[in-house]
Amino acid sequence: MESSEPETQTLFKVVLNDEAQYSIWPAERDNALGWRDEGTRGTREACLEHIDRIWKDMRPLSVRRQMEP
Amino acid sequence: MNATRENESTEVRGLLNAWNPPTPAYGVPMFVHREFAEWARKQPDAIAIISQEETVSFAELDVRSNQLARYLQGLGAGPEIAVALCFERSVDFIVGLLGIAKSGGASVLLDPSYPPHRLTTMLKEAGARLLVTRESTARALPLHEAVVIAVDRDRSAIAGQSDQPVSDGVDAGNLACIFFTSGSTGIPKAVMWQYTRNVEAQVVQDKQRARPFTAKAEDRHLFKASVGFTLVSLEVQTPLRTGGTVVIIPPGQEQDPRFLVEQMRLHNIPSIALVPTLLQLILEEPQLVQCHSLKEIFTFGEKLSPRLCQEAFARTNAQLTMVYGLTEAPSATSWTALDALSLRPAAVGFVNPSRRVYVLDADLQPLPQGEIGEIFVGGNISRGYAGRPAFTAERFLPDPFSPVPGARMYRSGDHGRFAADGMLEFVGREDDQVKIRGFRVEIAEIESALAEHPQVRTAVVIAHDTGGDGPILAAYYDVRDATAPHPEEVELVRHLRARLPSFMVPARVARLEAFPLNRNGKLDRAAISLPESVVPRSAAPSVAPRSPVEISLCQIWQEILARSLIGIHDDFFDLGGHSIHAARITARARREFNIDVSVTELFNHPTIAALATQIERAGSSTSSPPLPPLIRTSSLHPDIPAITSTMQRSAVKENERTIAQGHPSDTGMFHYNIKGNLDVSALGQALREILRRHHILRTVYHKEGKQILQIVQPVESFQMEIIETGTPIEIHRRHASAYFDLLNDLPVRATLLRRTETEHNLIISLHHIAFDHVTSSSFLRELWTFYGAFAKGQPSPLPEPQLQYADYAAWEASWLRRGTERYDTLAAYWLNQLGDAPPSPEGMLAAEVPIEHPSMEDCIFSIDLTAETTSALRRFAREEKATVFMVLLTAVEAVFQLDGGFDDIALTTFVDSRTRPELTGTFGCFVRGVTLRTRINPNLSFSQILQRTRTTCLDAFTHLDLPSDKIGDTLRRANRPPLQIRAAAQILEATEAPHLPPYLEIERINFGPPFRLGTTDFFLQFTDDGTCLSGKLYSGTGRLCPRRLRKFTEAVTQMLKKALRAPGENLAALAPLAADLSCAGEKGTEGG
Repeated sequence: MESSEPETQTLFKVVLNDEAQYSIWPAERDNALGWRDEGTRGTREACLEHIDRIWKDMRPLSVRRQMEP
Repeated sequence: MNATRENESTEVRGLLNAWNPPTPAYGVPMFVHREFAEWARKQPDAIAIISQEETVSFAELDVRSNQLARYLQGLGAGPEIAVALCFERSVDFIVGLLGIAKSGGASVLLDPSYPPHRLTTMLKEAGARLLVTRESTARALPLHEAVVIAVDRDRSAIAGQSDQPVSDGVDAGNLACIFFTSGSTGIPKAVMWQYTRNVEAQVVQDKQRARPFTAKAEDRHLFKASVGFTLVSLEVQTPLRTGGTVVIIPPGQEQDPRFLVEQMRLHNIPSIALVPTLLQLILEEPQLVQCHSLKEIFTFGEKLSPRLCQEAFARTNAQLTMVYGLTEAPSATSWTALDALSLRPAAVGFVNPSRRVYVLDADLQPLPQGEIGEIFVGGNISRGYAGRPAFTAERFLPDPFSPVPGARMYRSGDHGRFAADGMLEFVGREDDQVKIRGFRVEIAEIESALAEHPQVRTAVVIAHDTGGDGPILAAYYDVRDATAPHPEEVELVRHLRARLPSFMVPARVARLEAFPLNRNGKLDRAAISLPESVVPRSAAPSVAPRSPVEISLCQIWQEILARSLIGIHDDFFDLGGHSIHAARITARARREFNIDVSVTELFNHPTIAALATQIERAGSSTSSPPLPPLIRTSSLHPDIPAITSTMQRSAVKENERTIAQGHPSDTGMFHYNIKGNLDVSALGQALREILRRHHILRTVYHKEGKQILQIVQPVESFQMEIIETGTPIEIHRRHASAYFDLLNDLPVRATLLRRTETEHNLIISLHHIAFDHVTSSSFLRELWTFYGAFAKGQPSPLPEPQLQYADYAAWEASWLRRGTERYDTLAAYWLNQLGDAPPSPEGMLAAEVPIEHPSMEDCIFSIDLTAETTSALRRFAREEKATVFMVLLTAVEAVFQLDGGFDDIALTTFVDSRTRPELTGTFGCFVRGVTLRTRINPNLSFSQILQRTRTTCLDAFTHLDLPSDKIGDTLRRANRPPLQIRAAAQILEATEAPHLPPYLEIERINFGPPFRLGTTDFFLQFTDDGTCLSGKLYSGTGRLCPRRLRKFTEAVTQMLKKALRAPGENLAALAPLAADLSCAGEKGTEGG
């Protein structure tokens, strides 16, 4: 087997935009315009698992707000 | 916010901007239902939907979807609420699509042909709260939590809602609909589309980037996509938004190239989207050259080969455009218009100018032009996968190149590059996703479905590239316990079929002792080759073909399914057959056997043995022995009297009897009122041309001893009578009461009454010896076609007919005599059927005292079915694989049973006996009375009686070659009583209307019944105008009681309504019907 697989070594971070849509992004890279850190860092799998736990309402924030009475 | 835009270097910006617009991706909300409602206001009477059953106007569709929307809102539908919609392609589907959108909800599109288990998974995955479907579909589903709205069961509640527009409450960012894609975990993924979509290009004008999907309000669009497929948005939503018409291709016929081409021609379709495999089949259809309206063909989903591309240019003038799109990023990603030389094998088009498309490396950095990386799509992409935050986050990433804050891009998994001219090229995928006939399939999903089988340990699925019709899926497995009996391969195929949509079921399933591994100890997929030896088979041993038809079919199947040694009982689906194969097989069968076999027939008879029986039935009326070929013999000796058919001989004798009794001859009439500048000489020329073409119309009869022969007269013996005095009604009466001496008179007479320069009446009579329903409608079509041509000084535009009626008579004489095997087989069948026929059932309606001269209203009674009953009836017929006539006949039988106690019912019907394709277009009387006998009892359900009736009809129709005279002869010889079935029922199929010259005002006038009423006891004739069924019961002899006849028609209507609601109930449970037809009731009422 290959000794080093760079993919698995890459650290990721959990990010979100103003619509409270979550994604992952390489930990060392600057965020894209309009995205901010959620705070979690780790492997790709760890970040995705975290998102699975916290992203309960997948509606964009603007939609959620518009629907609130 | 501390986020910064990265990679501001000019180099990177150069890379991105070369193919992407400098402005933000241009998205607009697309509220199809609102645009539709706007059209419904602008053109309420325009046709929105054409289906086999009905046509629906914009206004009607608007009303029906408003009512459904209100009903759904009452059950909680609204913005962000997922509402599942599960129908085959149908009007109900489109009403549902609009109704859900108008309620504010998001439609979840489910294909009812999917396994019920999978549908339930999809409902759950999409989080659907409501499910709009039919009761039968809902009942088949395993437990789920959605509230079911069954449009058939809840019809009156829905129709009771206000038809006024509703407020949808949605905004551009709300959920619009949900489409599924194959998911590698074994669970399909629910892709959430929002209303905002990328517009499809409007910037670039040059040919290569021509704007696709231009639609006009007068356009019709074929709806042939599978209902869960994103192509629905093109085929249904486009016409709804642009004021056009959706033409629904009936389920099962979407892959029948001949049917599609026919529909394309019939509806002047301007544009169509086809996967390359279907495009190939369409290009092979000879009728395609007649599709003059076709301007654009879009192709997508699979690689387009240069050969296919060139064939397309050779066979059609339509513009061919290739489109590349992704479910996760609604609306096209890229496209290109092709010309004969521009196809590059990997090209998928230029980027949609309103989209952002990047080719990135593993670190998400842009790659220079020409380098291969992963394709990412930005702009207005979908919201993600419903209920799957992790999958969504993994695939929908921050878009670091977009000027819009917070924008996302979708990671497609497709690998590609940009060519020097900006063309996007697709080079493959890293994962196991493949395209099968345009559908996206995750190999892993099939593997996990196969691994669910208790005996399977490991499952591997491979898409083998065969170079032909796209990849073939093959599944390989090993077993848990090698000592236990192995599962039959066919059992595994069925296991998969119960879990996956048909396009995902592998064509081959094979067991491997051990899986080949590579040096790293991983599965070596490349080392597994497509096995021929291990094919799934039916449990029965393979049986070799027996008859010539079976042998030919076997060759066709083996070639098209790419297998050797197919047995005649092997199941088409078990052999990995799918609809494209079916289309190819039926096309070949049509060519080789010259008979009409449809894809649906193959689906209903999915083995060689069963299909061969069908073909033999269609080609000749019983399976053995074959009849002599039907060929042209009549022109060999035009002046010599020729032999007549049984029908002609009996018509001549009957005519003599009729005249001797002082009755007029048995004729049919056409009466036209024509306003405008009629070209009288062109009209006469047109009539003469029809007589020239069709000898039967200028045939007289000659008696020689006991023989009756036929002689064709010269065309000049016919003259159109032109008169200037008299009223139309007088001329009409003269025709209606005319005597035809068939020994001297031609069977056609025409009178033109010239009332003024610009006002004429044309009256044509035809004697029944020369015409039937089919002939008369062909006669009128030819008349106006020739008139149109001759009035403009053009030559005849129609090809010469292949066969004359005399050829048929000669052919009939060559075998229709006692002692030939065929004759004796047919005679034995009819003797068995009718040797002990019951009394004619209409006797139960007899009047106490016969009526001397019944008035018209005591002779004709109407049965009018509503559009709703009609479409329920059609649907029921389709589900039961029966014809509409069979359902109607069943209702009549059921009334005779319930109200008259008959359990053995014989009725006559009249059918066209042109069963041989050579006879299409031959003029003459081919209509034949056939007695249908069915045994029923009140403990059977309507469905069961229908199945018996269906068998009766199909059997009778395959024994049509013995005319009723010969059946009578057979009964007489066997010392059986003659047939005295006076009750008859028939359905007249709608025929193609003539093309009337537009510069004349032509009106067809009907006076009275279309046949002689005075000798008719009980004749129930249904007509089908394409929308509603209506019937007339004729009874002119005065033998039957008008009151009972009227009640009988009411009872038939009641029976249909009740039975269609409860087809599984015992007949007895459907009583009482509206009418009491018993004698007691009759007397009681009269006495009271």
